[in-house]
Amino acid sequence: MSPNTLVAGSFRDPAGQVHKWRNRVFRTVLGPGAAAFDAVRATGFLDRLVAEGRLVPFTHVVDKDILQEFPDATCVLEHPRLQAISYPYEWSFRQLKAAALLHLDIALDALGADLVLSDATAYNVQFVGPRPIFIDHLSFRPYRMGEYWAAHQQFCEQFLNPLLLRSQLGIPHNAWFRGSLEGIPSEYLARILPHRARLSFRMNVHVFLPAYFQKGTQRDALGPAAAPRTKGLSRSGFEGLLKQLRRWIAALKPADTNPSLWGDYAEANSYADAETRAKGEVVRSFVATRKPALMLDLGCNSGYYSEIAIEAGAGTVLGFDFDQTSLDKAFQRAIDRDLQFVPLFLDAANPSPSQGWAESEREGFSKRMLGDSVIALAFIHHLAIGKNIPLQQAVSWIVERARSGLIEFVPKSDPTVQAMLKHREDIFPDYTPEAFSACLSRCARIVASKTVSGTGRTIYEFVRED
Amino acid sequence: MPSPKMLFAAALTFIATSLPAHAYLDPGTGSLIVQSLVGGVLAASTFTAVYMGKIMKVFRRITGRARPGDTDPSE
Repeated sequence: MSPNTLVAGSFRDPAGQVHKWRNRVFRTVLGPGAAAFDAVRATGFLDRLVAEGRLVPFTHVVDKDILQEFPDATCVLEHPRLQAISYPYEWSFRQLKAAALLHLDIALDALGADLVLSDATAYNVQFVGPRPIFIDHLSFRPYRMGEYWAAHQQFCEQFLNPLLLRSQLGIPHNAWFRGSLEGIPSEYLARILPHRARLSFRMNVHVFLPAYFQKGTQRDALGPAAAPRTKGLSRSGFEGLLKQLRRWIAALKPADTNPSLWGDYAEANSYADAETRAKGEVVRSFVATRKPALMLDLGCNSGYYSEIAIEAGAGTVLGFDFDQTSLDKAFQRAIDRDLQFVPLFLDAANPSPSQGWAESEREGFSKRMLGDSVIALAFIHHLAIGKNIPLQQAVSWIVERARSGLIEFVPKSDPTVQAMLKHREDIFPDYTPEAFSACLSRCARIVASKTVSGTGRTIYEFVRED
Repeated sequence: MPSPKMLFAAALTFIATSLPAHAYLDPGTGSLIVQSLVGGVLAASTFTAVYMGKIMKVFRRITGRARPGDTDPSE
């Protein structure tokens, strides 16, 4: 029997941990967190959040065989498995904003129920379709009169500062957040914000002054644990902080609102409507046959084909693109049509690595993003020609994502590839349909192929035989 | 006049006595100092918003421009 495994990233909280066992997800409540969890549970607040779809559902485990697996736990909860786990550095601006608002709304409602959130990590939010959902049931504890919002700095570094980076400076948060897993430090953001930002009261409250006072104060500010408690932050002050942040974040927009290179791609691409329809039909027919519970759409753009796949019977689609404007449009599509579609940021030539503590705290793309099917339409030339990745490696990497899929080959004669080669030497003599189909045949069986454009774009359907 | 350093030391002492006893998250000194400084302002703004709302309700009732929620009998 396989031993239960502690979910990486769940080791820090002494109140409890998340385990995977027999393909199920369990959360232990440990000694230090038991009293707080019982008190929170008794308020009915968690049940309310679950009913509203804002917290992952949970059941109390009573099965003795399961409880035996967790001898240290005072109680064990079971959660339904989420289709996919994503991280804030893979989210678009709009997703991070939605996650921030969820966190603040829950914190405000919690305060109304005399509870507080003990932390404010963005990793406690996941996406089910376009809806953010809170996943940490042990983050809540009873509110203590006069306490400060201990998670304020963490909230700023993991939500506010990454959003300000894009809304004030037009810089997407993804690369910085990925390199700095605890978020973007206020100290560094304060150095690059424009001078006019110093005139803003809320910028001072949440960025400049915390950064200023933090400087050179690494000595222990916490004092002895048994220190007598005096009145600190009033409850209305606590609420005021949360409300001010909520109003501010709700109004944030990306500074770089110009249409990006790929942002209007779906509407103004180089192929005609008939081709778009032909591609859509190939996707529809493939999905209707395979019925993937989880499908990956590499190079999803604004999610046009992801939507067709969902209509045709795909359970959940994870879309990937490197363009921020496309991702924002794709997220809007998921909201507007209520699709089980999660568009995520991916530079396919440099996917999220396994990283954090022991290089396993946050799992890398290749382990985490595996589907039942994958589609990669108008994608492979960006790797093979845009990034000089050998064709065989690019094909194998796509095929590793799922046992069945569609890959579109865009030949050199296509205007898109011609544009890519316009200002550089053509060092790709082997970039041909024949070479592509040979590469694909080495790692999968080609089931069908269909030419979908006058320029020779062809979609190959494959099945992995292993 | 007290120097900024003295004010800062006083703020640290004040904050050290008002923290939750077993927080596993390091709250960040800078954030706590700012909360102690602006907490009153934010509390005032919350109260102002609530009371301005109530005052506006009364005003609308007097001027005959009451909205559906304004005639709540519990008020």
